[in-house]
Amino acid sequence: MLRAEALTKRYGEVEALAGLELEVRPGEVYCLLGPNGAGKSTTMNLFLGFAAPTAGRAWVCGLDVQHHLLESKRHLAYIPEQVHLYPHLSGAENLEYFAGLGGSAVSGPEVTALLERVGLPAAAHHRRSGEYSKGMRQKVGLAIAVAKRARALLLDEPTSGLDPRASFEFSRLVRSMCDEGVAVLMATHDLFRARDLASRIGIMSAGRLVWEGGSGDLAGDDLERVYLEHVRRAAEEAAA
Amino acid sequence: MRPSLLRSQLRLLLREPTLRLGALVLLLCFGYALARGRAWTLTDAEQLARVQHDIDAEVAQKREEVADVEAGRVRAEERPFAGSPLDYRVAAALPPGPLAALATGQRDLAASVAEVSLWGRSDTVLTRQSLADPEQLQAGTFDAAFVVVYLLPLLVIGLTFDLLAGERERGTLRLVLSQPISPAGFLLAKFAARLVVLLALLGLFGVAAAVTLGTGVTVALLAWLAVAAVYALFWSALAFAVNTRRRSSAANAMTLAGAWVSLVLLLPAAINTVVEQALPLPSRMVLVGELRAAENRAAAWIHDHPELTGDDAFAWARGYYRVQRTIEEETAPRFAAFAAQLEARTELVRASSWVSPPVLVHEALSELAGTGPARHTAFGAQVLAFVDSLRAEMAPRLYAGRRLAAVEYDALPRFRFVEEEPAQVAVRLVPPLGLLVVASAGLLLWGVLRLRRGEPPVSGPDVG
Amino acid sequence: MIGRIVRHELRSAWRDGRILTVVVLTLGLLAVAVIVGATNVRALQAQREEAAALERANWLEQGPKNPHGAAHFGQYAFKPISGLALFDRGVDRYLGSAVWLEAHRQNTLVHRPADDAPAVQRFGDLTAANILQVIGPLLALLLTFAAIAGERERGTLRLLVSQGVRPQALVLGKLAAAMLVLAPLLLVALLSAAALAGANGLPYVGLLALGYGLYLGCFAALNLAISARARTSSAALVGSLALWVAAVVAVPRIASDIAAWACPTPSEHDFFAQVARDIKQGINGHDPKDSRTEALKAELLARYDVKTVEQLPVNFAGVALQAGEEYGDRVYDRRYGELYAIYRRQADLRLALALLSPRLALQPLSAALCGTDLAAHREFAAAAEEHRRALVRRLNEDVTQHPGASPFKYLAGPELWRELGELRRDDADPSPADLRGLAILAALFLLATSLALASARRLHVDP
Repeated sequence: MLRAEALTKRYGEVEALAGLELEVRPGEVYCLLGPNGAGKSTTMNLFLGFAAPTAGRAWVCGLDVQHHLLESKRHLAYIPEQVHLYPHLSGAENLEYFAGLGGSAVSGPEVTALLERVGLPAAAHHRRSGEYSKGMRQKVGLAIAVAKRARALLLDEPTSGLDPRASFEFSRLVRSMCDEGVAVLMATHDLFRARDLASRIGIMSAGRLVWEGGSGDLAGDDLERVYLEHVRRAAEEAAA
Repeated sequence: MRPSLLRSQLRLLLREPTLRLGALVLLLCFGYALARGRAWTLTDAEQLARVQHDIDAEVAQKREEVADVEAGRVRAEERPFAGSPLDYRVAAALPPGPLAALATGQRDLAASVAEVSLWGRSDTVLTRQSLADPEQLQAGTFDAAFVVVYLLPLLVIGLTFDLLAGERERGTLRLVLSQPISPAGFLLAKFAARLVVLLALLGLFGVAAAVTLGTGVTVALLAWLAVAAVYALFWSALAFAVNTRRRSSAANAMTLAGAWVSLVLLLPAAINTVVEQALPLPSRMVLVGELRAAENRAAAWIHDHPELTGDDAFAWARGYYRVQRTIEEETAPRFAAFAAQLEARTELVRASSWVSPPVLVHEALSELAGTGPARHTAFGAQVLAFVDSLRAEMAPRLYAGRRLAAVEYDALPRFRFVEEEPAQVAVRLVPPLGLLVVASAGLLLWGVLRLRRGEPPVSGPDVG
Repeated sequence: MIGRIVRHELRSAWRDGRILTVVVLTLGLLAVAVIVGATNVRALQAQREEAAALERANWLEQGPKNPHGAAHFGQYAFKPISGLALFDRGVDRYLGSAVWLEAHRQNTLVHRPADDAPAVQRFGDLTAANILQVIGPLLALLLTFAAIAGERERGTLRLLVSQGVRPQALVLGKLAAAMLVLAPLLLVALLSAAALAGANGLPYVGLLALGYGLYLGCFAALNLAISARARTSSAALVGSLALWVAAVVAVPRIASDIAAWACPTPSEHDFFAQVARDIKQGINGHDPKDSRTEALKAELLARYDVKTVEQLPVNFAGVALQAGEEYGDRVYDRRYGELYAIYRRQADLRLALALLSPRLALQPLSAALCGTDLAAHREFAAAAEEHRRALVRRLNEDVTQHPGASPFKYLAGPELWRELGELRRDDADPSPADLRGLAILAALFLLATSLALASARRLHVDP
């Protein structure tokens, strides 16, 4: 569903991504871990077509992103780290607007149903979104993704800054989408959330995938140990 | 572009507080300008009617005098000057056009009524002792043309300076462009939504003008609105092109404000300066001195030729008339040079209006309202032609000492202004306006191509 | 503390390429405007000299004439051009440049430069005054719009305040720095203008500098107030630009429009028709010209104790002419007085509206100091009228002193023409009568500064 094929991105001298190979299958949640600057956001940008790869390809539902910039986005939903909405519109209006842009117009009862599904309190549906908390905005972002009936979902640090309860609710919703056959690629710093949600986990460092494994391969504190070890090793290699 | 995209952008735009405030201010300005223009035009028309009436009344009185002499009610010796051709006067008026309320143009400055008779000379017939408040003339009137030329671009800029940059700075752009929509398509939809609103505002103003002025929807009004629309299109296209640079909204605002200052304030002033420096006019003050020298010479000559004046009741009038014609003949080359230089100036300004949209649009809006320089120039020329025809009719009587009979008064020439053919106006205005449309299209195309090149503008200049 | 802030701001402005570019461009524009202005004023002054010499010759060479004929020929007087007109043409373009001084009539000046200018002149003049009035505030805007909002966005405001910098000191420092950047621009423009205008321009340069300084200071302080309150520097920019457009472009136009609406100026037709009526029927409408002449005749006959005008030792025509002249003078004094009262009310109204736009206070002040305002024009017109009355009186006296059977057969010659001089007013020193604009500008500047300080007092350090 989502596939990176020798995906490489250079900004001048800096290699942000070096020959990434990755595949996320339908119904799977793939968590990308790694320190800042490891290449997680670059990966997201390449799948979204926000940046052009220096080499390699990004595939969405069998479409090469670079050659099908618009079509590939029909199948792709994206929730950025900070969901920014139009502050003078309500959550419902934002949903209507973005869903319309996505080519899946929704109205009236559908909007209410979607917002209820993501757990936005009914009283907030028609309030200015400028007054929303971050968690509420993330929920609207999720509702936009759901409305699109996308087959792949990109999540960029979606739970950072959310309180544990909001974070939990968010995970539950992602899982429910996953159960419907959506492929999810999630970049995160939250090891706990990754272990809880992921079917598979990849650790990135300095633009490379340095470890990959199923969540079943690990137990207890293993993930933290593996993560720190790989990140340290990568840093040593870079220094040498 | 999908129609649904335009619809959604339009809905979004209509919710924007900036638009509501801007549209309100623009409509208030238009409303004030319209009310003021209408009041001013009514006063203007009343004034013309009063001048006409006063002059007609005076001539009617002269006619009565002649009738009294003819009927023997008064002895001819008591009214030696009755029926003198020198006393016949007629008002030559340039009526305000039906749309004069929309643009003051040159009407507050140039003469729109002249008193024509055998008195004076062609250089004095349009010279007036104006009492108009100079501060008001310098500031200019707050007419609808001012609202269009100066303020409309500012609304355009206010609505468009942050089309992309604003979305980027507010953080909504990433979510937007993760939808299946190209940056160019998105920007075009936003642009089109704004243009639709601007055109709607202009349309609203057009309806208000048609109702207030009682003209109904005329070709001239539609053309006036179309010129304003072309101007709005130009500024929108410029703003569109500026938006395709990956700069901050503050930088865009600064660039567009700079463009506005340069195009609307500085360039016209520079054109004015260049025209005045490149094509200096002969000094009016020196011309006055020369006219007076010619008057001295002509008076001496006529003094030496008493046979030209005769010794009847009209002798003085004959002498005066001959002196004036002699002065005219002697100074004709000076005035011809003056007129040629004025004409050259007009040409230069017209040429420069190809590169200065505000100058072009201001002239077009004034011409369509019937207050432009061309109409006033035409009026001046027609008045001079009328003066000639009046002289041709009256001078032989003066020379022969023939009084005007009472019945003749009614058949004497009257002035009627002949409007320029609309086709001629179109020939003059359409090519540069067409160029403006082409330039706007070019700016749009350039912007679209620039957006297509390179990566989507999701990150600004300060983000790697 | 403030000194340190000022130094820091000046260094930043110097390093900011945009500000430097705009300052240099403005200087270039000012240089062009001053040079073009100086060329124009010199040319106008030379043309005026030439015309005045020509006119003097015309008067002297008019040949033998009855003095009343000479009064009808009259003299033309040409308005002198103030040297500082090269800096600010004021309303000069919209006022006449020559006046015909003739018997019976007090004419207004004709031949306004604007009459012959292309329509594009209505967009404004490229004079140094206009550039400073329009572009000057924009420069102030560039220097100040991000002053507080930008520091807040970058997070440096929090740092500054935590260092113990009082927000009011910060605002005052930034204001002083902006003024110090603008000051050289102002001084260069004014001093070069004064140098080119000749010595008689110098006394007014100080007042001009003060007026323009206060004007630019108003904008700088208001922009700082906006910057302190705006959420982002982008919002501050838009707010300051809106203020600039309103104060510099829109309000002056609306103000003069409102003034013209509130106190309409009569048309020349109505005005001169009223004057003619007054003279013919008497100012009160019950004293027609014929009966005034009859009364004068009766009075003279009684005074000299004779039966007919032919027996009078003086020429009755001359006496009657002068009496008519004096009656006309009363009419003109009254009607022109009314007209000038209208102009004054309009000017007062505009000045009252200066609360909304400092430009409304600066414009008349600048023109007054450069001798190109309506007051300077009226002063010339008054001198010309005084000259006309003296001229006509002397000519009427000459008629009076030559009684004869046929009153207008007497011819005077060159001796009389030579005796009557021309109007000599070559020194066009401005003598500004109305400096209220300066007081208003000072008040506005204080108001704007206290607004900025008030905003600083309630400063939010975080975005």
